[in-house]
Amino acid sequence: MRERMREFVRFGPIERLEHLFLLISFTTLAITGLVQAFPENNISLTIIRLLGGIENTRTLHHISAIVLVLLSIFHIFYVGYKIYVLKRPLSMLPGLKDVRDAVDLLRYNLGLRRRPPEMDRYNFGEKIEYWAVVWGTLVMGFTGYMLWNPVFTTRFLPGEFIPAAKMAHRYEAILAVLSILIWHVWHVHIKHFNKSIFTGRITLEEMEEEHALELKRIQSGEWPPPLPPAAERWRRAMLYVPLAGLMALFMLLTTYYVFTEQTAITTVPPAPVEKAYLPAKPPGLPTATPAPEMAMEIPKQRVLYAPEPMPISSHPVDEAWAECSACHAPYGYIHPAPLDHADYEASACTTCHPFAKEVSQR
Amino acid sequence: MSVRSPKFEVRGRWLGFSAFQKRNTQYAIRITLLILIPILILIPSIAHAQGGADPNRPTNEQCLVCHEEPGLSMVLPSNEVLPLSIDPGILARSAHGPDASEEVRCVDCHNDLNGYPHPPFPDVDFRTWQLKMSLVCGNCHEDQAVDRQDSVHARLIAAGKFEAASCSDCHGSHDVFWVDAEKHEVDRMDQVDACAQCHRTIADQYKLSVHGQEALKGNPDVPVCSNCHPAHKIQDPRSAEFRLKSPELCAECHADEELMAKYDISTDVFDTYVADFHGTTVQIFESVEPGVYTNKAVCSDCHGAHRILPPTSVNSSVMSANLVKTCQRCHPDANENFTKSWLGHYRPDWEKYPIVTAVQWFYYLVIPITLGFFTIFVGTDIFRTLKNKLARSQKPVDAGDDASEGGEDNA
Repeated sequence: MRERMREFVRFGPIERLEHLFLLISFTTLAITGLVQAFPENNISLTIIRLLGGIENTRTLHHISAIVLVLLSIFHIFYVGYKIYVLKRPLSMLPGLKDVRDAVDLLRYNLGLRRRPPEMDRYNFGEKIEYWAVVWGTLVMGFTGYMLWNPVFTTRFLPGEFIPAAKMAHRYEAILAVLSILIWHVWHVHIKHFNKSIFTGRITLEEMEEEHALELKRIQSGEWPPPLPPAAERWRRAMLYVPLAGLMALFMLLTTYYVFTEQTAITTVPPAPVEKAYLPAKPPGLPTATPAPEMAMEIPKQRVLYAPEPMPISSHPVDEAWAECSACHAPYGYIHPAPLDHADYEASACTTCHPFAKEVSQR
Repeated sequence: MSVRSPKFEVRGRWLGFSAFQKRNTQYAIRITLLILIPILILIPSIAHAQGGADPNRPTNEQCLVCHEEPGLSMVLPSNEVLPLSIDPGILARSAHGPDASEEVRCVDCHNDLNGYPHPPFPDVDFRTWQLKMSLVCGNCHEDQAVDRQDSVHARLIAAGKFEAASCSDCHGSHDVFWVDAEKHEVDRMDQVDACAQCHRTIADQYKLSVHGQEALKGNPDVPVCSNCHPAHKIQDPRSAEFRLKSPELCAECHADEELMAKYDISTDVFDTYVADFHGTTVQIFESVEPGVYTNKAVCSDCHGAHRILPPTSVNSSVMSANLVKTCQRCHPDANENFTKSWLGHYRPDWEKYPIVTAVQWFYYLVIPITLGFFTIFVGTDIFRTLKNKLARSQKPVDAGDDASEGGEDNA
């Protein structure tokens, strides 16, 4: 029983940190990316709102992308170091055994085989996942570059590559997220929660179940293979580190250069040049204009036409006196009206010539 | 490297575009509305409750006794000449003439002139008086008056730009014309001409456009000014809200299959726009931040707003030969290749866009195959794991390796 509790070191601190960065950047990229892939969805809009708008969401997406790219560059040289300097075996490379293991496991699952296949340090499921991440990061990285820097891209490639990159970026993202949800979540979260990538340690029981062959090799002392002598390691590191450093620097500079393209102006597109307000006539003139030459002759500050109110005070205005024109018609006998009053109706007289009391009241 | 034109910035400033000023203006307008709306609603209803208009008020004939006289005018304190003559023929033909649904008398609008002699003319210039007179329109046309309170013209007037349009500037005053095109023969170009009084340049541009050319021929399908800038409620077309909503405005006609079929125009234009980067962003902005400007292109940024030409025209901004220039307005470093990254409102197909379609089909195959493979494995794995657990729980627990493997053998 004591033997069962034994733990093995599976991942070093660098691998664990790499996974942590991958976990954070991938999740951020997935969330900030999927909301852009499905912008009509209300959940997407809520997330965008929580992130402070689409421009913020995109900035977050870009920052996470840079983190992932830096991580990938680091990983390339770290793996190179482990292979070239430390002479570690290529345990992640897929081989024929993995195909056999996959078939055997399927047969075991279906009850066609008694025991599950014995698997090495990385079983076929883990290899699938690792290489899927490599493929996904390459596709997402390159198409993302193109989408982020379309002006730079179209200097070398036909324009159609941009919408093609968008199509690939979108579908690869869907594929990646669904793969993680199905493959990764099932194997290391649901089937049993495998914490080894965080703690670095794996129990004997887990080893027996998932890496039986590796366990056998550890127990036989065949694994891990011995490190090369210190002198050789040093010699190799002296060659590898400067070379890798230079290449890494070159990659970082390229990344920086491409990430800093100014794709578009930062302001709202320039407004149309036409002037919005240009009146056909000066403002303030009425719509029904009388003959203008008449108006021009008017001496300033003088009212041309304002009939003098002529109060009726000598007689009441009732029915007996209703017919004004009987006395006051033009050419009439008493206070004759002016000539231009000839066709005025009798009822209109009091409009201008009110009764005396009304006049006094005003 | 900002390409923003100084003119645009200056114009933005006097309208009060900064967030703080804008908010203040909005509050002011809201408060004004809060006060004005009840008043505008209450006044006519009170008047109505008191038995409507006074039947003894002076008739038009009484006013026309003097004002029919041609050449009448007076000089305002501001030295402007105010014409006082009215052509009775114009009055009769107007919408307020004998055909009006309710009798409208001179004093209904000129309600300060009830009787003679008239009270002294207020000490204002002509325009101020004209704006004051426009307020009486709301006594009868309440809805339009309330709508107008939030319009760009009303805001400008409130900000002291008195040349901004008021009721009579568009509708006429004594000659106020009929607007109901269904009941009365109204030429749609009359409406363009009304706007052209102040927006002459834009009207000229419009008349050159594919829409304007058809409108001049009397085509009822094409938009005139008010179709995009609804009268009364007219919004500032430079506002963020208008900019974000503008693609939907175009889509009202351009996504209408029946209408577009008449002219053999694609109805995919809106959907393909929204599917692309510019359209997606604009749509998100509209849902999430409707008051914020985005520099992502809307329809009018590429096609033009007023002088929209068909894409086949040599002068069109979206004609393939002119496209680089159009793209460069926002993407100064764009080249010929860059313009091809826009699919031109087409849905990708093998003939036109083989690379895009190939990528699409690659994933149409790869996604189901990969996920299918994963699902088969995980599915059988789930089945096996559950079965093993069940077998283990049914058997008495014994610690040995062989016992647990024996349990699996039973399956």
